[in-house]
Amino acid sequence: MTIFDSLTAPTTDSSIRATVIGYAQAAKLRVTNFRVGSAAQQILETIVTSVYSFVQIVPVLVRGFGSLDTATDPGDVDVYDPNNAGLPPSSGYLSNYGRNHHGVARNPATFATGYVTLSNTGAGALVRTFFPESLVFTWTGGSPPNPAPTYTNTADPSVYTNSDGSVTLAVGATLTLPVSCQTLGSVGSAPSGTLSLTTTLTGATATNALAISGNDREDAEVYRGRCRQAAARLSFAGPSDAFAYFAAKKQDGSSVINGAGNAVTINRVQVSQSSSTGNVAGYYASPSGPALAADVTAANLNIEQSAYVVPDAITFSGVAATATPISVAGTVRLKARAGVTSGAVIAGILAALDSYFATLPIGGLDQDSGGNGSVFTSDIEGVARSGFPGIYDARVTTPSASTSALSVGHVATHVPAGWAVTFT
Amino acid sequence: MAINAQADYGLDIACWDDADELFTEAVGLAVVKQDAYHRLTTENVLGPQGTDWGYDCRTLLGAPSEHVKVMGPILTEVLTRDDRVLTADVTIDVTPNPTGLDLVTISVLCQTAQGPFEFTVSVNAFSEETLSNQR
Repeated sequence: MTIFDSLTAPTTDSSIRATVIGYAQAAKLRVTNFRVGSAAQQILETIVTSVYSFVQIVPVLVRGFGSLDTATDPGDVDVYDPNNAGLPPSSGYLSNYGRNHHGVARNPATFATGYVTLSNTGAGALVRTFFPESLVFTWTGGSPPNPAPTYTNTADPSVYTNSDGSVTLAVGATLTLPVSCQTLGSVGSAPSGTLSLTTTLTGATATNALAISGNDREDAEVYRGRCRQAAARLSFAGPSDAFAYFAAKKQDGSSVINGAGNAVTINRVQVSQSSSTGNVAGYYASPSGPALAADVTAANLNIEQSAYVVPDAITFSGVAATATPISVAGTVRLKARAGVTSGAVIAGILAALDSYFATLPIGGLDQDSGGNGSVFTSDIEGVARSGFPGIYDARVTTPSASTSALSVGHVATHVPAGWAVTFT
Repeated sequence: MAINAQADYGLDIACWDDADELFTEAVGLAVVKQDAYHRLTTENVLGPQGTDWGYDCRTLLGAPSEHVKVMGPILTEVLTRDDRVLTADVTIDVTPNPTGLDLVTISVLCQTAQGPFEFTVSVNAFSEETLSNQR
């Protein structure tokens, strides 16, 4: 353990208790009735509790201000503080560190936004006058999350043109309304044609012609990576980190916004390392796989025109990475415990694998000079083992080989192919 | 940390509602007696295994008298959580008070390996005294 370790790791109350008792005994403590609740024991515990509360301040501050790796925001996974992940996401040490040291802002979660078309054409339709936030739409088509997200119509002066801020919809007319999800994050991202009108308006129906999208907060590790790339934005030589940085962030550290008005969801970029012809290729991926077309357009625009990353001698082409689906199946073994079901275990494994594949570099690991790498089956086994507490053995049967090749510009996507759970 | 054998109740700081300025000591049966008193005046204590340690009898104030009167067996169970207390007889008296809360008095007689001890808790007075001491 280094000095830095001792400053970042919180001291346990049991170690403080042992220290305090040691001091008391060294001072010839006469009390022998050390039972739970006894007078002297409670005085001692008062000291332990006070010291414990006080000494937590130092490691929290050291972690928060000491390094990009140890700083976290509320809601992030924190290896030193298990409670942190359960806190409501908000700006904290990590956001401040990244902003102050690297000039990079962390993308907040956003409410999914988009448009619905309201048709007042059904039987019994009446002339309708309504205000923003007066209608409710629900994601009912396809496979909505549970509970299904709901959406409301949001204010837009170009739509709500009546003098009192309302809009009137004639019988037989249709109207395109901007809507916003009432739940924060990507959970509100609905495919096209899946929303319907919940508010009862006889003769009126609604649906979304285009997808509605919202973002989760920028992943902590992705944000740390962007912070590390940020120094490259000052270079005039077009380093690969500059391309990677400007695919998602502007010169001022804020997010690149796509044509739909949302922050781009690109979380991985692969840039070709060398070229004898002056051609540089960039590949973009989002947590779910290849980057959205709108994000690719926005990233290229930022790289080539807004930030002028590309030197005149270079020809840059940025495209969405190509998905390489990897089917994963296997078996796990764990001790039977009350309340633990196969379904819960498999759900944990799938969530861990989704999270792993969402951050696996484009081109895979252990890349050659051409950017071609691999996905290691042993890594997948390790991720599966960590997917649920108590798993002591995990075997991946698919893929059967020790590695799966991943070519340059290809991003691995997870395809669940079945897990068998054995309770022992 | 030593846990004293039942026959040797050890030494502690004398503390009924509070310790005195000289931190006078309590020895033997007096230690068990003050711990029993604290069992009836404190629900949780600090430290490991401190949750649901005792029962704060101030919660009886204002409760219906028929409810308070049948709390004896529960308080007996609380007192005998201390393995030094072999038996505990608890008597609860509720005196109607037309101008305020009923007056609740708890009388305790405990047996230990080193003899009996008894004490009485006037819950109404205890509440007032303790609150004033804690200012």
